[in-house]
Amino acid sequence: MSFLRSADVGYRRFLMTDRILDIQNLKTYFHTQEGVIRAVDGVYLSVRRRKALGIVGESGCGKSITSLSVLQVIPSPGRIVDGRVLFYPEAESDRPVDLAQLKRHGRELRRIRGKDISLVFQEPMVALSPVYTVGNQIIEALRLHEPHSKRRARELAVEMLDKVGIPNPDVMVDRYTFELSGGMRQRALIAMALVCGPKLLIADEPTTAIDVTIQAQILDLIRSLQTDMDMSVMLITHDLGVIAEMVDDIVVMYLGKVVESGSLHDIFDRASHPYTVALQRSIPRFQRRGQPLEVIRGNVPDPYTRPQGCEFAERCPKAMNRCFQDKPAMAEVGDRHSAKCFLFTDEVESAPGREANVR
Amino acid sequence: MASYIVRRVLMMIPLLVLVSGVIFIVIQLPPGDYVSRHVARLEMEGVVTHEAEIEALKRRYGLDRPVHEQYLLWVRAMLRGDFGYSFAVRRPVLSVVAERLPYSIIISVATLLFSWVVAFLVGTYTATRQYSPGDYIASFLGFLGLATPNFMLALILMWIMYSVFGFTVGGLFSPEYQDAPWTMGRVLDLLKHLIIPVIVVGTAGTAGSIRILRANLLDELNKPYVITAEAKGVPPFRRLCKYPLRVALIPFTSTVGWELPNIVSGETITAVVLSLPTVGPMLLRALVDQDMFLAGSLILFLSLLTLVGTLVSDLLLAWLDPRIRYDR
Repeated sequence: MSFLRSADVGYRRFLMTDRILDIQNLKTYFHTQEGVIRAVDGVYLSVRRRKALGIVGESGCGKSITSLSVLQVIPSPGRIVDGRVLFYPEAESDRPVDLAQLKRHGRELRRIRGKDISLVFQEPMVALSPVYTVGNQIIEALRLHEPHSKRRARELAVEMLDKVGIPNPDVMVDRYTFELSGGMRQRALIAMALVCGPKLLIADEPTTAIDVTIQAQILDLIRSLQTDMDMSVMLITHDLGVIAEMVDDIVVMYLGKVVESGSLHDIFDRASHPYTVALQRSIPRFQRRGQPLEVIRGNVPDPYTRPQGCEFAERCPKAMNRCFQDKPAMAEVGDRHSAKCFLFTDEVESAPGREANVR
Repeated sequence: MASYIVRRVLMMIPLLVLVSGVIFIVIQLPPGDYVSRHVARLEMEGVVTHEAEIEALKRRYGLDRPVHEQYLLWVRAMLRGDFGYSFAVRRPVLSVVAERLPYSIIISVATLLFSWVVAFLVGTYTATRQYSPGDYIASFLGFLGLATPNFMLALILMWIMYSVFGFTVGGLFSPEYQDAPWTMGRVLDLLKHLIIPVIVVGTAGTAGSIRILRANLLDELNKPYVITAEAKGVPPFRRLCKYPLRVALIPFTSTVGWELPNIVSGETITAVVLSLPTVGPMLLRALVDQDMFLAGSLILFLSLLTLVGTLVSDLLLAWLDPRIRYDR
């Protein structure tokens, strides 16, 4: 009986699920004097409404730049050169807003930043200004988007600080960031991101700079706020352990491209792309105590030159001859589960514009 | 904040005592004193001097006593408001200084303001438009200003003003206003004459400050907290002013402390070239003449000015940066 009911609920939720963000062929390049860095080079991914998507990959795979590209807050000289970032504020049946088409310094994009879509950065030590109080910065975020009186905004800021688990919020609201511990700063940063009740929260490695004992608390906090506030979450991390407890869907990135995408279970139990498999093997495991940790051989290639064939071929244990000549297309390996590898397809990556990704 | 200000002001007292001691020692360092120099000059001119007369003179000014007693006498008199007597000018030091110090302060403060405003605007512009033509032009002019000696710049500007505008530079007033009472016309005349000294004295410091602000601001512009501000929807201009600029101003402000003495000492040569009635040239002459009370008082006033400048910059810093306010 109970099985039937939960299956029923699961099916209904599946039907109700629609996308809130759909990134298509996103390309963010950095034009420098030494050459062009293709940080994000044709990324397709989508975030389902009220679900959490995890983006994993090594440093330099473009996961952070992908997340910053959504709101166009890319450090200079980076800019979006191609692609679409479709945002469906209410439902997928609505007309989407293409965030990539909006002007970087324009009013339209500014109205979405911090209001509909919020960002939490990886380093709480430096992501808040040291010369203003926590309250000042939260109240600013609130009053930019909602016409509250100063007093009301302050009350709401205190409420939000309380909600993210900061003790004595009415005192802490007047503290400067250097008076707070790392974990408290990250909580304050999350409070600032959530104060306008965003529909999508993008968290860029929110636990990297934090003490391991606090990491779990912060993740639990994000998870519970996601349900409380009916948000979608896009979580960027290099830590597969973090992702396992947090997300519904996973996208694995390598060298500015998505190499595999699927549900949490697809990626963990049925990892297909050799890179995903290698990534999982390199997680330290209790059962393999005493044995040397497996690592992915080789290094991420030089950012200015991209291999002619598959980006991962050089480091891939299963590389075949054609892997060094052609780039594989994204291939379906299961329901809503795809991988970009010649093990699963003979097709070569086609010219940009093709839409084949997580649904 | 209040306790910080009080502490900072109280700290000036021991500093001032220390400075006065150093000043006195330095002035006493050259052999002889004003009376013996005066006597030697009179004798060279064939004037007969009487031993008793000299002794009386020395006793009158306390020159026959040991150095530390002279110092205490000097300090005690100053606390009573008596700054001694200038041998060379034959007038009380206070009246001599009162005549010239205001002009020095006017030039210093005007230079500082000019330097700040220009450095602030140009520094912000060059940092936010890095590698633009405007940045290159401003940087080129800045380096030129840094490298040109003050007196040279003074001469060039005087020549340009005279040959292009037919405007005689020199002094702080036109002849018709020299001894006139303070009227609107005289104030305007003063302002007109201030332009060149302010530019000449301020150029090097301004150029330095531009570089400092530009470098600091460039460091701050791509800091994560600026991106955070952008990500929460703060409009560009407000974001620039509230976030990176405020932090970049912190090191910029702390330079005021050493910028002020630079201006004061840099002013001397300029004042000689432009014949400005400021304390710079007078101090030079007092030191050469061993006119000890005048020299001592002038240096003390300038030191006080420097201490006040440092105080102002420290207070500004504490206001700008809570990390300083809450420290200690």
